[in-house]
Amino acid sequence: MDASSPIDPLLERPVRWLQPGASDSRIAISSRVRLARNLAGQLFPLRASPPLRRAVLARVSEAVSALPALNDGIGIEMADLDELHRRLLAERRMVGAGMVAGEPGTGVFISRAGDSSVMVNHEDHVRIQALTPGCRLAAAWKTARRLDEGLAEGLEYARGDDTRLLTARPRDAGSGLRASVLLHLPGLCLGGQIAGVVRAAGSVGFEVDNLLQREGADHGKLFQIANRTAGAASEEETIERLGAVVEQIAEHEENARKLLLDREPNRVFDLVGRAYGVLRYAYRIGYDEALDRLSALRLGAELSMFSNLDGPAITRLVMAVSPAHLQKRLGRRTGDEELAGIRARLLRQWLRDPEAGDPGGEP
Amino acid sequence: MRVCDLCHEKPATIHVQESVHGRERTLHVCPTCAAREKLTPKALDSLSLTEFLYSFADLAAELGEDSERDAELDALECPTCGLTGAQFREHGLLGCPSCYAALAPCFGADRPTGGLPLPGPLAPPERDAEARRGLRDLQDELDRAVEAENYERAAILRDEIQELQQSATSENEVD
Repeated sequence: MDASSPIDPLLERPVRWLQPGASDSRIAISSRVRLARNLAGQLFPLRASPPLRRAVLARVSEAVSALPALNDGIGIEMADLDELHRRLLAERRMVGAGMVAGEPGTGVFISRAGDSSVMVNHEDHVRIQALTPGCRLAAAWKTARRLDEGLAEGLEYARGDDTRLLTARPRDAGSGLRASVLLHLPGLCLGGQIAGVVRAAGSVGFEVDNLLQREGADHGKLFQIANRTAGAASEEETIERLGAVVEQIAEHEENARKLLLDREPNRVFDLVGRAYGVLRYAYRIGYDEALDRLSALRLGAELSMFSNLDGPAITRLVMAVSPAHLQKRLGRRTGDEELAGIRARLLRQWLRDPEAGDPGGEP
Repeated sequence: MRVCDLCHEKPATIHVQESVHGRERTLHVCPTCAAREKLTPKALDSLSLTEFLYSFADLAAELGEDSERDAELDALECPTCGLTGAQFREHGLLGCPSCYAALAPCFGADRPTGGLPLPGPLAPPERDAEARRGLRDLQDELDRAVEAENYERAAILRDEIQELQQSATSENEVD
């Protein structure tokens, strides 16, 4: 099968944007800044034929080769990867979920450290993104802006009469900026306050999405908050406001946890204890359940219920047990049933001795 | 499938329809936008039906949704890339720079969606209603209508209240 692939060097390194060290990564897990751009005088990817898209990919590739930040990384057309490796890149958030299809002319350039990338022909001609651990939007913005400035030297972008950038999605028009923070909000979910937070954030121009929602259930209690439009405010302003809103949500989350511990301690301890029991002793566990249990385990770790577990390690485990990462570890593709067994074994081993190995290291 | 009328991105899985005096209005929204705009099925179960009626009216007025307008939007076509309004409303993606002018009515370019209100404390938005006595009477009647499950009457009352409120605000507006 997929014994080796061009993206292996990336997979052998730990996921940098999930690394510990950020004291603020307790609730805000990671930050991302994305900039959408399109080449002047060209059809957007939606209406462009495969040869036209390939021509855009070639032009962007040329501009990328002049960027020191990207020229020692990985550059690849998605169609040259098999589906498993395309999924791996999506699980690592290096490409958008829509790129897993591997349509002709879609491609990606990834920095050596694996914390920034330039996607090509994914809805827009160019999508530059930078990821950081914790709530460090300013750092992500700095990285993304540097890439943007470098690329702009070799590429001319489509603009409206008022010089605003034109993008495939109207809501991105203007600056093309989408700034987002990934939040772990078990306290607000358990306390039933999450809907209020979604509404309140909405009223100040930010949308909160469940990262892993399936069939209406919010698995993993992971939420992404992002600016809804890129039209009015400047990039710095948007990022500053988002940071302020995230700070407030984090405060609400801390309060919700305190309140829960105060009023219903057994409800919290039971949730965490059951999660530990299942993760430590189960012989098969699905992805969705693993996410839910790991969320509870992380909550317990952050409430100091375990001496040998820490939040960031648990978050990296979330990635390690995701379907494509597990299959890469196995060395072949397989169905959900076998994956459930492998996932459970990995979790059992890790919980037997959490300090023995970093689950988020190699796949 | 079609995408949400509000964000033009996620699939619309909630479809809300209202009929007052034979005039139909429909909204197609995704769960995220529905939650934000208080259009969730939950709102229908709870006591916030009045709020729901308001949210719907606001959005319906904003988006100008009715079947005639629907057909007009669907028929729009970009002269450069040939993308139609119907196609845009399927997936929320534009095909080329010219689409911005050609398909503008589909995504409400004149709508102030770009506005990021000034950041304030995260408090649920409150309605600035009941400023005047006449309004309050109507509001009471509206609440009673909702309680009695007379939704058509409630929708009419809501529209009357909004008209009053609009005239009140336009009087106060300082240029």
